[in-house]
Amino acid sequence: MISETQIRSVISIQDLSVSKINYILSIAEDIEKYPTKYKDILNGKVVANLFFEPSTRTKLSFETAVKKLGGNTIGFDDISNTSLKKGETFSDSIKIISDYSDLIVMRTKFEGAPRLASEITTKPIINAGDGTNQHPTQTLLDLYTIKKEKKRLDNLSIGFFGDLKYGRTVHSLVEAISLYNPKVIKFIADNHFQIGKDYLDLLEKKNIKYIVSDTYINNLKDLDILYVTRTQVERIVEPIDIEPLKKKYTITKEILEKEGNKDILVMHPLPRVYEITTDVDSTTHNIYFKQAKNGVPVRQAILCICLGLVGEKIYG
Amino acid sequence: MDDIEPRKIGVISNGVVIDHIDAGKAIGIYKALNLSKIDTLIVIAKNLDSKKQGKKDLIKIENKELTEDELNKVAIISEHTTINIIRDNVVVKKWIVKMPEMIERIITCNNPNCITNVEPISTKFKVIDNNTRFKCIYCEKIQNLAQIKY
Repeated sequence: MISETQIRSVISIQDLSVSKINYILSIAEDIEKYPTKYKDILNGKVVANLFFEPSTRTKLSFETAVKKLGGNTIGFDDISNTSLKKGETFSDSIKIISDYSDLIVMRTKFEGAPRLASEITTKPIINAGDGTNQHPTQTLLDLYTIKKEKKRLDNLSIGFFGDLKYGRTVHSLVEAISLYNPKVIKFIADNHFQIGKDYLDLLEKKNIKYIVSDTYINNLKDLDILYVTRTQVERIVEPIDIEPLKKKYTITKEILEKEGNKDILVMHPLPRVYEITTDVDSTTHNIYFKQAKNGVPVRQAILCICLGLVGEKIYG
Repeated sequence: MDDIEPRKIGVISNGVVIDHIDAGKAIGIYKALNLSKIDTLIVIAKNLDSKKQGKKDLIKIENKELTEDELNKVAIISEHTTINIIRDNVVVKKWIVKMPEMIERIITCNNPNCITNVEPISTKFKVIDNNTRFKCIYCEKIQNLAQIKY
């Protein structure tokens, strides 16, 4: 029987139970508190960072995580330098790379590719984003940030704001936070960018209160967290002019003072484009830079757990 | 050879009778099973009176037995359809098709970015929501009957 603390791969947030998520977050907390305990834990291990799609933050965050644990990385961030460009199948590439490495981190535009990779190799696979589908390590760092700042994950009022249709971080976080019995979830977006019905069905099935709105007006007062996202212009299929929407879907210091409350915390998976003005950066509402920083201990925890390098002796 | 009398059309001695198909769904099954490629006798009846269903469709195929994949396709299109195996004019086996929990190979994912549409691999779908929707286990997209392709 697989125990709640055994996690082989991190492919989708849907695969993780509350106890598994809590376990990952607890290891991340321990790593942040006692970094020296973990500094050589990946000694002799090779992590393959396969970025079939460009990424800056996630890639650097994983590289930092590996190096802080004393491990080595191989990989690529430009598909044109790989055999895939010569016509090799994805499956063959994974078979070969898994022989060179102890664990594979991958980002790809093809949805489900990390799941396929986990069927091809016995080495752990960590999904660093597959198209519009999942980005589970982002979700885990989002949860870690919320827990750290609010001291809890349950009974929270959370607003999602911006592009809720194409933003995969929103989809994964809605699924994850629904495990923690939220007080209310608000989806604030233009109709073109509103959350999909499947997510509302999920909340209804779990009897979780939600509100769908196209304006922040009268919707921020009771929120603990406002999760803002960038418009994923690179993923938009239908022709939409986003220019007129920019002003309506931008959060400013003034809006937070007028419409929000003193404790509301603003998150963003970054990069930010226009949707949060820089005057919010200096307020106590801003936790989006802390959020990005939290990516490192959370990814360190995932690497340690998937490689079977931490267990009860550290957790206990 | 003389022509068969019209009233005898549809009588098969060996083969399969797909009965109690939801009315209007026989053509969908005909297409999904690729029956246009079969050169034995095929009879399709639409909107027959049915005590159980009010109206039903029916397909008879001579000298044919259905594979597991073909039975699963029938179940996806019309659950509770009855399969009758005929040998020497006798029904030797009869059962109601059952929707499997997992559907492999026979349907394709409608998400163009799904890895199953890029790599030469079999598809896998989990049947959800009281057998009305199908979730691709790779890209996690949920699809209904109208959206799936065979």
